[in-house]
Amino acid sequence: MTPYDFVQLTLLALDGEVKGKTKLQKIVYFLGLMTGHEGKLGYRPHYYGPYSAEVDGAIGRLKALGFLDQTISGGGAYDAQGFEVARHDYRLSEAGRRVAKAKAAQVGENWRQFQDARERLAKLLDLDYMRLSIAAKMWFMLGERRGSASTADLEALAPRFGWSVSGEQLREAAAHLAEVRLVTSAPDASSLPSAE
Amino acid sequence: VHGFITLGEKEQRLVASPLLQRLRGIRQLALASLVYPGALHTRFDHTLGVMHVAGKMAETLGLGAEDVVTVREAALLHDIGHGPFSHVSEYALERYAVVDDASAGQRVEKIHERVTELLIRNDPCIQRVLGEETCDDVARVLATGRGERIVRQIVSGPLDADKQDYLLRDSYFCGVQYGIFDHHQLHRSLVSVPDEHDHVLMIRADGVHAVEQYVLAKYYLTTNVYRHKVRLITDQMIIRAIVLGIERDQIAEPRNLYAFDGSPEFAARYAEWDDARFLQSFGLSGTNGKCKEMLQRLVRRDLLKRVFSGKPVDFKEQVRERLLELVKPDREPGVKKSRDETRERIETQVADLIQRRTGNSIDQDFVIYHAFSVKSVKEMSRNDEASILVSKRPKPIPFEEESALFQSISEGFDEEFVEVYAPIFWENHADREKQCRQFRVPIIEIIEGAIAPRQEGAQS
Repeated sequence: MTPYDFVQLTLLALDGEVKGKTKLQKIVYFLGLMTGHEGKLGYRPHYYGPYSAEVDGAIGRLKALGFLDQTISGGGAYDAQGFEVARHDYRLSEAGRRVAKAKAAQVGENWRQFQDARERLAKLLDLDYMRLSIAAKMWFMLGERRGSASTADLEALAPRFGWSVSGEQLREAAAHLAEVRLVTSAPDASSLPSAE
Repeated sequence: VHGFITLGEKEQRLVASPLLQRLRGIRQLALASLVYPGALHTRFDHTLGVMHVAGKMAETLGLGAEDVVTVREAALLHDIGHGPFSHVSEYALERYAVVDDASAGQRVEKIHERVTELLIRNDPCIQRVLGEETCDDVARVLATGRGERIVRQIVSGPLDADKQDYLLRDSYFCGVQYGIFDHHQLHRSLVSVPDEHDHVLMIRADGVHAVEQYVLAKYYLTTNVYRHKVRLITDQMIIRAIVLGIERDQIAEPRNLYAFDGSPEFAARYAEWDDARFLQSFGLSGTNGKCKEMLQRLVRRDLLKRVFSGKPVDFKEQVRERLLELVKPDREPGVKKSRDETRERIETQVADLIQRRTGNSIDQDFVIYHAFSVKSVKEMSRNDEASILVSKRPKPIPFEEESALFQSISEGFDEEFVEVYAPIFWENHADREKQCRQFRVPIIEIIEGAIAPRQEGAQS
């Protein structure tokens, strides 16, 4: 499955709508993990966590084909230079929805995997993009630590990827990931458990 | 473009080699001179320019003397794999190569990259000048994904010497101002930043405006020169001439030219061709046939005309994903056959349509279906490579996030286009408008009809 097909099916699995570009990137990342497609999606460490230029390209192509509508809204927040931070919202067009449904029917078993993964991820999907990013960063770093590390370990590891995350943020992320059964927590609050 | 360019002793010997001299006969922009008369510059001029820029970059970045030499040598050899009419040959190589991709290792390299490597490793003159070990080093630098990172980034990356030279050079020779950017300022802001294992090419924050200019230059030159309507048509006419020569006229020579098999014999054969020999052999004195007829049209500047231009959204949803696919070369026989058949179906029906409407006889082989995409301006800052990085504390930031201008450019607006070219005549602009208008809806229906059945079958 190409990143283009994957993004298309991800959007369909999310009822055709995602608010925020970072959020879409991270949801595709987690769905990729849970469906075993992450290796083909091209994720690399990036400021907001794992990011894929291929996924970004797929979003661009879906728009070019008229399958994805994008609206940009001011989020009311401003960056350090005083520029308003814009939020990109995406919605499958009617045509995009029909084409994605046809593709879902074609891929059969893969589509069922998507739906299962989406259901399992339901609680993560409600998170805002910052929390979702931290969860993605944490998962990415756990991968680097071969699946098991303490909060302190990950806090120390983060700058290697240009990230800055606090122990508290990591503990919160661990709780979110545990809710969707992506990690298990050890009793000691300062330690993080293995990735499932 | 760059003023005086000086060459070391070894570089002079490399430049004097037949393989490098051959590049004097390969135009940088194929037949773009049919629309920009000054665009007669060659891969040879460009090669010298890239070597010069690459050397300057390496020195600015403080690379050691040995690395500067490697970078300049790699730059000198980076284009030797180009065949007649530059990028046009890449399509033919992809279509007619007889190689087993599985044996090429994990990464499926483009055939023209493999041709470059083959030529470097097999040319006796280059081997004599550089020696086997250096040839290996240079071939490694040119093959994406290997070699020291910063050296590779100078030769092939989002800010590489190749792009810097071709933007300035193509602008100069085409007589347009689109590709101009402040390369002095850009070079001034280059920095080599160590990371855990390697050094990475970045720019300082004060170079962001020069990079903005550079990325915009690339965007404007792409949309105005590289994707100019006449240039697209002439490129497609050359490609079609090659395909017709091999597949309709059954001429052995063009097939031998493009049937890359990784052998030294192929390398020796390939290195004998340039634009003039190609036009002479197949267009002027060649076997009578369709290939010759198409090339003669180019020589006379009797070009095909664009009878249709549309975007995916003009077509029904079931076919949009396949519009671009139809023109991609694929060596897998089943895929190739299916795409060729669909494209031929479209071209035959468009020929019939034009024939019915105009009363003129139209050869279906001279009707060309073409599709291409133009990346968004923001995506152009990355190309296929990673982002340009701005060196900042505590961490580097991708250029497109650091630049206030690029933050404000709405990203992701990639565009795809579908066009059909045909041997048609129109009296004037109004006649062209009229004819294109009457062809528009039927051509859309033809394309949809040719593509749709498989899609619908697959859905059911």
